[in-house]
Amino acid sequence: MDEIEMRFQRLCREELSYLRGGVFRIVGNAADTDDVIQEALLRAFRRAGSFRGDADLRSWVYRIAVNCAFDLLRERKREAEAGRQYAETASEKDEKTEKRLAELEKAVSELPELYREAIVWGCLADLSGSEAAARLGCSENTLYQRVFKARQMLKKAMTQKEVAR
Amino acid sequence: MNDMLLDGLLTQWKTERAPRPGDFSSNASFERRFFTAVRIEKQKRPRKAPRPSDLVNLIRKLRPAFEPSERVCASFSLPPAAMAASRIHCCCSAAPGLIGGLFDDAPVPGSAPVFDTEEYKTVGERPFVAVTTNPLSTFGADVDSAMYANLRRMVLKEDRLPPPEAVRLEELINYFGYDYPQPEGKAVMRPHFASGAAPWAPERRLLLIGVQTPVPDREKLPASHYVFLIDNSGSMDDVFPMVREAMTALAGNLRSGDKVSIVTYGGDVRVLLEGCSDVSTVCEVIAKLEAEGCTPGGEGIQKAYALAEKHFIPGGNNRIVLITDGDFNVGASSEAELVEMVKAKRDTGIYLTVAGCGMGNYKDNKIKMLANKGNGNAFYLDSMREAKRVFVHGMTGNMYALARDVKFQVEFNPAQVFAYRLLGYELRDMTDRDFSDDKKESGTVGQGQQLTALYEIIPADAAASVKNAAVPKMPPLKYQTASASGSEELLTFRIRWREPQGKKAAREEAFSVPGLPPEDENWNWAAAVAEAGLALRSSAFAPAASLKHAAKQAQQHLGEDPSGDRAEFLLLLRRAAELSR
Repeated sequence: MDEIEMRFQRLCREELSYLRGGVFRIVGNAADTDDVIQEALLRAFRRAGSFRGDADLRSWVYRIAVNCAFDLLRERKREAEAGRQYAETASEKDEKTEKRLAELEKAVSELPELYREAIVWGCLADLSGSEAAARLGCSENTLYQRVFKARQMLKKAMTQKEVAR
Repeated sequence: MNDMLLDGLLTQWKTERAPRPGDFSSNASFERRFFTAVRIEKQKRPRKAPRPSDLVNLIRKLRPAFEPSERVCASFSLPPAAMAASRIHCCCSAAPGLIGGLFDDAPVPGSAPVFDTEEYKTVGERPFVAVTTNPLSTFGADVDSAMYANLRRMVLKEDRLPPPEAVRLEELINYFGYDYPQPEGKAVMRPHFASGAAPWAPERRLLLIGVQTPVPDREKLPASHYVFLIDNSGSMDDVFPMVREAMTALAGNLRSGDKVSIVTYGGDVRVLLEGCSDVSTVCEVIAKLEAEGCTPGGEGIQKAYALAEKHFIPGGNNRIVLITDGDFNVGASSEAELVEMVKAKRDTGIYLTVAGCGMGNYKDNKIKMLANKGNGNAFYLDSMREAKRVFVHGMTGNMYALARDVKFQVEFNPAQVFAYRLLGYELRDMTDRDFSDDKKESGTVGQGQQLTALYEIIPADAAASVKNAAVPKMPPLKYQTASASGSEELLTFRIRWREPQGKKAAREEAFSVPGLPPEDENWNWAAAVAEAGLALRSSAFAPAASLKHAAKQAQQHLGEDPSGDRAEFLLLLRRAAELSR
């Protein structure tokens, strides 16, 4: 195993469960989640020489993973929600909330990259604010600002949809 | 929508969609899988890092005109055509900086250039033409979209920019659907005009000519006989599952009276199904398809035509659907022979659709040429989505011919237009007199299809301000005056076409455009796509065209976009803009 492969092995060991946590919440099943993460890692591997350090590589993987996940979502849009296997929750499913959630998901997928990843890693995954910021290669403060801006965009998009309805 | 509601939704998303403990396999098994993939990646990636001497030899072979002393220096600034000829376009266009690295003896880590064997036909750009000397512009119909899917593969899946010569503007523009008015009554085609300031050069106008054919009633379409000619050679291995899916989807859309034959060519040419009209049998045969052997392509095509003739449906839609990566490497495979054969069959009323797929081995030029000569169209299947788009959603237009040898001619009024330039359609170039010559073949247009052409024009009143545009200087003509001067008309647009079958004489229609038509949403979108295409081609005529600006425009004019195609293009543009930085 050469030096680059060692780096990727470290990355896998340290980050896999966090990556899975975020990507799963987008694509909705374990198999697709692993595919997406593998794709992101492979893309990083192909350009392994161009990263300055481990942190650089790590943020890149976190970024690409979100892109790949939403790409997958878009690809299977037509096949509806067949791929999703979320746990049935005890709370009763009211249709209005479900619809809102679907709209929110769409709005998130349409956010610019920077804000989309802020929402995914900052709000949805199992990472604290400082952990997420470190992984995205920015300060905690910057991350909060991005999340704030992202929320504003989401609110706006959702309001427009409400009006359209 | 307020903060509280948003908070609630986000929390719900986070908690309800969390993975359960048992969902995932162990970290170790993920790791194992990943490193297997890495090993495969390593095997196929760097191939052989070429030494400087290899490259010099290659260039020497391909460009005998170079002086020996010039060779190495010249290769830093080879024109795109020469880059294409030496087949190193992949690394050259993706990262111009790498070229220097090629000449160091030690390969730069992580940047070993990949020689790929994909081939593209090099097409030069059309220049501006002065209306006083050349008032007519003639081109053949072309509604292929093979290049777009190929572009998507490179940018979104392989993280690289396409070589400039792989970008064909007309295909890019025609990939998208537009909102053109339907033809009225029995009219076969209806043109639509729009114009506005060219985004990359505001002093020039960008003129859109869109043609719409009537959307057919599916029930009234003639019966079809499809001969699927499937390349199941080893090189197709990766894409076979997709091919199977695409065909199953099409088989599901067959109507009673339709027939299917299936021929494969891999190790040898085999007829799996002949004139069958039972959908379940068709699906069964499709399910058993597998990739094997090498490729005697020519023989397969002969067999397919023989079957098509045997089960010919008079007055129906008789079509061969060739699915291949174009790597005809055994048998009668010289391009000339194949083309001659396909050409000889074009008057029999049998059409040829070519669907290209696969990576690395993909031979774009061969596929496109076959389709053009065989009265058909070409597609590139890069994903299940594209396969369905071509075989299912676009079936009427792509599979049912409405008119053939469709030619367009625009006559510009010199009193209104100083010079013009047609964007794209380089492979469909025609001389002006070919327009009325019915022996000169041209492209086919299907039912419910759209065709869009863009002209960049320099208005007569702006001629002085654009002296430096690349309009070739001509001596002022002594005896020709702008005869129509005084006329307010901008241009006359003529369409000429023949019935899909038979030898009936061609029909012709002319439409005059009174003045510069206004902008509309169709134009806005087409202009953004054109700008992107010009930027990807690094067009000499539009140095100001930028991917970033195109993306911005595209975002503003997404429109309804029911198919999601436009949104996807936007994504592609943003990625390409990042890659080009």
